[in-house]
Amino acid sequence: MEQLVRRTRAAFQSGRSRPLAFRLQQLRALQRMVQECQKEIVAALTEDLHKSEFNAYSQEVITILGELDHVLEKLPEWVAPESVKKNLLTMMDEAYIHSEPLGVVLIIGAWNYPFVLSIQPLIGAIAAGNAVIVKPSELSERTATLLAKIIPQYLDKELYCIVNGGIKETTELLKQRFDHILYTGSSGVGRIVMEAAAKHLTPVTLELGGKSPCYIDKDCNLDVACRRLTWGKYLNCGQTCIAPDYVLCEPSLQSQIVEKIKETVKEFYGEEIIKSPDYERIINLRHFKRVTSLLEGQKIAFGGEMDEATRYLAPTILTDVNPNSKVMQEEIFGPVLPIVPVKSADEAIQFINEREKPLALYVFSNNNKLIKRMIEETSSGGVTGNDVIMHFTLNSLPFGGVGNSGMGAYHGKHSFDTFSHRRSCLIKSLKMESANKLRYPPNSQSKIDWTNFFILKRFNKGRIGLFLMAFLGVLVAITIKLQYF
Amino acid sequence: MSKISETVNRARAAFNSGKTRPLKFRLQQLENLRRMMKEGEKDIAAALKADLHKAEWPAYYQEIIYALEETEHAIDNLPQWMLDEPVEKHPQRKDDQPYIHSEPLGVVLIMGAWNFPFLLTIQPLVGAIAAGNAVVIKPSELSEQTAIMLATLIPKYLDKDLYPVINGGIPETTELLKEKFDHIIYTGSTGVGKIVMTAAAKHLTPVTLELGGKSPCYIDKDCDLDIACRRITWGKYLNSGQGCVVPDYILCDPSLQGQIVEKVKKNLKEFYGDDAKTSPDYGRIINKRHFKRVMGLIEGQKVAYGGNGDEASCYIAPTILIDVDPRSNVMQEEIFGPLLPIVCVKSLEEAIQFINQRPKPLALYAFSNNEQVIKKIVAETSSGGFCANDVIAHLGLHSLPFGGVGDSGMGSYHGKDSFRTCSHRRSCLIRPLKKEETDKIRFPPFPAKVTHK
Repeated sequence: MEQLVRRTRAAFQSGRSRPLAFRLQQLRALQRMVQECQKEIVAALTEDLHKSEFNAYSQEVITILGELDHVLEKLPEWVAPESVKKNLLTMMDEAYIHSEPLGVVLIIGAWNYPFVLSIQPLIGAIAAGNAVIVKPSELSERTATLLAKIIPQYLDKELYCIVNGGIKETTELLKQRFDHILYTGSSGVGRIVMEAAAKHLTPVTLELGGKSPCYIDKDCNLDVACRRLTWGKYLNCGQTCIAPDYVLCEPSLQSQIVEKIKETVKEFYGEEIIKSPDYERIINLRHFKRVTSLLEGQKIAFGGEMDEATRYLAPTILTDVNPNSKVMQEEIFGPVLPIVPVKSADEAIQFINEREKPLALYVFSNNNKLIKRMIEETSSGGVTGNDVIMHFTLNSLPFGGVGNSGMGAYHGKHSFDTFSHRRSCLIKSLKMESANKLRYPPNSQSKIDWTNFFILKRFNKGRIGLFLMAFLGVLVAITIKLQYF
Repeated sequence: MSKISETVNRARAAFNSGKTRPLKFRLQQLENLRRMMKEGEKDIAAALKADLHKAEWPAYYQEIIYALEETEHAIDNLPQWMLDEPVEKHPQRKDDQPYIHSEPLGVVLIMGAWNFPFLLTIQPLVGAIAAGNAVVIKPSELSEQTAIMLATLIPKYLDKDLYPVINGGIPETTELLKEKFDHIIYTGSTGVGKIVMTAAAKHLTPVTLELGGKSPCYIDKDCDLDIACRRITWGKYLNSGQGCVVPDYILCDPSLQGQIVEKVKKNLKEFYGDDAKTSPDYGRIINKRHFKRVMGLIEGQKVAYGGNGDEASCYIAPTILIDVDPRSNVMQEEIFGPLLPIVCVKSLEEAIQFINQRPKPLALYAFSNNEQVIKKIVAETSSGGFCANDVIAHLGLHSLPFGGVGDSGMGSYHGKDSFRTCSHRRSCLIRPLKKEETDKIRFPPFPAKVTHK
């Protein structure tokens, strides 16, 4: 591992990843890879997660193609220095923020959307001019193997590597020094990653998880709400970091919600869900056992059918769930939807705030004021009002967590910013030295007074004050200029 | 439960009460902070003088005025900073409302440093208050009088539960770091930065680390040496060299060395007189330990000027070292003292290579009339911040975020960036709750096969 990282770093230090032209070329090569290897990518995803070809394409491939289009279009803009507002003392200077690569970035992918969660960050890291090591999740084996095969066929072999392996290899990798680590996964491992990063003072972006609550208000279009909720919950068999984990609603709504979700499930997956090509499976036996054990002691209003051999668990709804039960203690990451009755929006807010900050919050209501209030009085990584998951799909919105659900964010330009160092630059000229007179010792009261003027602009800020200030400013500038001629 | 735990819990309870959220409350606290600095100016200056031999003028100009300005800037701009930020929506979803909502993180811990003990505690505090957090303030124990002054003054002006000051040494700091915070801003050394981040990892607390390093200062052949040396002299010996963005060492062509020495000498005499010890404007080293450390770096060096010190008063004369060997002690650690080593390099390329072989510094300086030289240095090196043809000045502009990279730190603050650092920028998407055309392609059942384009 040490050798690999050293070689990658040497490749970065050669400087070739810096020019815009190179970055665009690599991104276009990545785009070609996705287009030319589409069949293989889809096949790997299908095998790893029992996804239909269509779902693999629409959930993962399209997202990547969209991100690539966006970045290819905008990158020239992003790499340009960003001028900033100047003050009186820096009036004649150039002040800007220069975005530069960090060096060697490590991306640790996840198994639930194994393609997107490795490649979307990779795009941002390449765009920002870094060298990148990608460690796909070993749980989504075929995707990991495929990436190790095709990436070197299209991208610079020394700058961008895929490293595969399990816990042992990942631990070894984390001992090395990186300039940024982006990790997607659990809070537990997130802590381990951050601790390892601390040894090298490596900044981290941690995309973790939590229990994303979904509050359904009395005043809402329950048909549409339940349709969208059903879609988001059972997508990828519930294995989505921003899946609506559980529902909070008034007791009177519970049975209606159950009915509507039941209807929607039939519409989406047919009478025999196990035969629907659009319904996925749990990733492995360990998670299957974990999720099914959460059903113990619960009131199953719908679903619950399972088949261990194929790791199939039917879309399930639990009602009257006790907040102290097991299913409410951990992120479910499976097709089980608990409904926890609460008496009011106030109680829902309190419930949410008593728990760790989730990655996403969902609120369904016709009343926009209520939605705004719930946003105001809670915290979460992100929010979608009147839908689920959708805030992930807009790359103008930074995607990330807060508290236990993570730190940092990415997507679109936010990826570029995350993987860059935004270096503040002030370019002064060697002229205009008189402007500096105030700062040199020995001191005097008059210097203090003038400093107040220049730095604090201690003035009555009325219109007259502003005119006076502008006039004096011009006077000072002229005086300084005259002193030179 | 320890007193520290109690204090942090109380701050958290105060935050959870929701009182820091309204704009009005935050402005009121910031206005109180401003009043504190105006009314307490003398007390603040006295503490700084006791800790660092800062005369009234440097105390004001180096610390108080910037803290005041940061506060004023926040008061003026906070209403705008708190507004939701609409972002570009999906062209096919015109009824969507996507925006970024800034919200407080919770309880922020600020660990101050001893070299600008007032500024480095108050400047981050402004941002943390503006962003609506509760803040636990831990000033550096090395600048004792300032720590005591802050513990006395702050509770008189700010909400006592929300913004407690906790003082103490290593044991207290270690205990403090066991508590859960929602963000930690630490200013200090790289070594302790690692300890802070490790402690933060246990609670998944994001950190802003303002660390240090050796900030190089490259002087090109093509430059106005008079002005360059004047500015460098000012920045180097400010606070007796105890500044995180002080030009640590010079890189220049051997032919310039003699001239630079002469000009720096001349400026030193003008600023501090023939004997800097008698100048009221010249600072002292913070304590005996650092005094010994810095004096030790002079050993074996060619001293072109200065080189003497007085342990009793922790005074070290402004010193210039020439023909310095890159492998010597003075080039292995951040000096943080009034010693200016000159390392000769044959060319710009060699200077760039020299810089890149070492950890990324907090600041990088280059003096040249030639724009191409400046551009090349910016393009081929990395550092927290960069200033051409001056030193330290980039810190004075709010709109430029201040922070390090690599060993010199992570994250940044100052001005609006402080507000951002101490906020959670929450992505919000409010959609219309009705049936849509796109539902057809969004919801299953889907065709099993894809027609590949």
